[in-house]
Amino acid sequence: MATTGASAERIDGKYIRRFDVHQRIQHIMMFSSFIVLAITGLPMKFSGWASSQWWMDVWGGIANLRTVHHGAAYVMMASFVYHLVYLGVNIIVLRRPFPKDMLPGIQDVKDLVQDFKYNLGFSDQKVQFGRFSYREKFDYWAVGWGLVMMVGGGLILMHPVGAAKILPGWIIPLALVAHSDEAVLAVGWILIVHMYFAHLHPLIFPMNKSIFTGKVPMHLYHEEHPLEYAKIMAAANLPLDAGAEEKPAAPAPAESPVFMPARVPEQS
Amino acid sequence: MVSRYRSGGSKGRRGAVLLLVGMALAVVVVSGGWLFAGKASAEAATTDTTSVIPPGRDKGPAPDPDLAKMFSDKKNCLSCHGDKSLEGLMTIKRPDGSPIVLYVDRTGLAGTVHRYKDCTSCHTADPHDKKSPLNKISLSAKCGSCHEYEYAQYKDSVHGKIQSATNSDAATCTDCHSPTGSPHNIQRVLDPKSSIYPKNVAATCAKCHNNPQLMGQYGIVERVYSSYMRSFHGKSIELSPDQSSIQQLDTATCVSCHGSHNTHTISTGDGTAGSASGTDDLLATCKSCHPEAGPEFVTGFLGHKDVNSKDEPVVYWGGKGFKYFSRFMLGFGLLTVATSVSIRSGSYIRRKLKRGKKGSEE
Repeated sequence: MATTGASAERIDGKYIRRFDVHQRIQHIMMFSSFIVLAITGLPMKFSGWASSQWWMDVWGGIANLRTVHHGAAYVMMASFVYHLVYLGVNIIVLRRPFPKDMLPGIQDVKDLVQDFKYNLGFSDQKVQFGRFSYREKFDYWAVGWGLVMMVGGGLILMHPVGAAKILPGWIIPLALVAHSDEAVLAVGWILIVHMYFAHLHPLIFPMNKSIFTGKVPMHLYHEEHPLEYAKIMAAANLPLDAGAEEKPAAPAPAESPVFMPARVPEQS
Repeated sequence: MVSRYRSGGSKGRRGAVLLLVGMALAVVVVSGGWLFAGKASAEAATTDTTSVIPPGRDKGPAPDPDLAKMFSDKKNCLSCHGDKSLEGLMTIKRPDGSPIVLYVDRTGLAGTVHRYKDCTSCHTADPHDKKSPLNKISLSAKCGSCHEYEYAQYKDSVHGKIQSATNSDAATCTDCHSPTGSPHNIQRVLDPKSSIYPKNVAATCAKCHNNPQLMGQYGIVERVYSSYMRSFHGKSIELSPDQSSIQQLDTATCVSCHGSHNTHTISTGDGTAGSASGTDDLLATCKSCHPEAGPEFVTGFLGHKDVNSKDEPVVYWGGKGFKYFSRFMLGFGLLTVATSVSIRSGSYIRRKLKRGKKGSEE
């Protein structure tokens, strides 16, 4: 079942498929390990806080917390490897098209500027996003960059003696600075940006379930990714407003002969 | 079997008789002390102490029986020296003007390591001999009369060497081993509340080493306490449970690298690697816990210096870069959220409400 490309196969009732099962598993691995890493890592950074001391006692001391931190780190690394293998298999073995939608481009900068203008009321032109908005691309590459820094730094901190055998000694204090600063950035970003756009945004509240179900309601897809939505609708020979919220999806094709040939295929 | 029980019984009876006799004797002695106080003072007068004992204080109240079981005071010294009202009277001065308080607060005595040593174990011979020079040197020598090995190390250490009649800046035994600095409060090393239990060592050293004025006089400019607490070792010890001695003993504190009784100064290079003190052989010191450590590992240790652009430019500028990069990115994230929340939220919420009324919510 296609989750990419402009194909009618992506329509599933009132939903449009967006994430395949691998992406959903990768996200579950990522966010669960992220939460564990954050709640075990932050008290190590802010070791002087009374709350850290209390939390550490709950876990039975830093030795236990460190073990859990390392365990969660391996899960996060596994999700990273999983993603790379997934990409490799998709592109090289299955010969699917390279996911160039995720590559950043000059259009993203224009979109960013236009989004700011629109949100601040300087323009009434709402930005029309394709498969990935500049924000989603940014999140993806930020996670990629963050993973390299966090995993790289974390491995050095996990094995400082071994790291100093193949790398210069100053890498250890640098890794500590990088690891702890990047961690605060990552946690801050998730708490502020991700929490808002995936949960608290008025259009989304209480949460955007698509990364778990793999599907997005049509009206939301129309709202969030209008350019790709239009392509899918065109491919399925459906009218553009098929998913618009004023008209609930699947506008009774039987009544309009024009749409007869383009019935949405039943999906199992 | 039967005979053994019997003999045991007779032993028990003998013990009971002895106990009764002992108690009776104790009663006689104590009451005798009261009844024949005059005689006792006459006897005391023969040991030439009346010159310093205020008149009328040569007999005190009987020791508190509850407290008496918790520490030794055979000569009843605390009848005077444990009397708070006499504190002013019992405060004398050293030649340099610093006070010597002869009042002993008995509340802490029960928890000290030497609680069953009688006062005269240390205050030997004539405790009222005022000629005894009470200073950090004589104090360490007094401790050294039993703790010979530690005293020999201390005398040769950076703290012991610079002790003189006019300079008592450096630590002596009680400065580390007693939370109050008083020799009457020496604590067991492995008591988790002790000032030299691994978790408390850094704070104890910091009493002096976190004092920039004092340290400046000796050319120690590094902020050793804060840099230690920021380090892996400092965080590990700070976040280990208070009672977990195994985990704490496993983590390096100040004394693990610098030594304790044998602390040497690192600046003059007289530290010896054999005692794991000093940094002239830093690698050997690191290896005592990290046996696999190589020379590059040691260069990754920045000492207690703050990271600076001269010694460690990569770490310094890298750290700065990460710091400002993180703040810039978080600021950017906040900006996207803030602008998104601003004026367009209203229309989203209205539409959401409308859709909710229609009941077409998925």
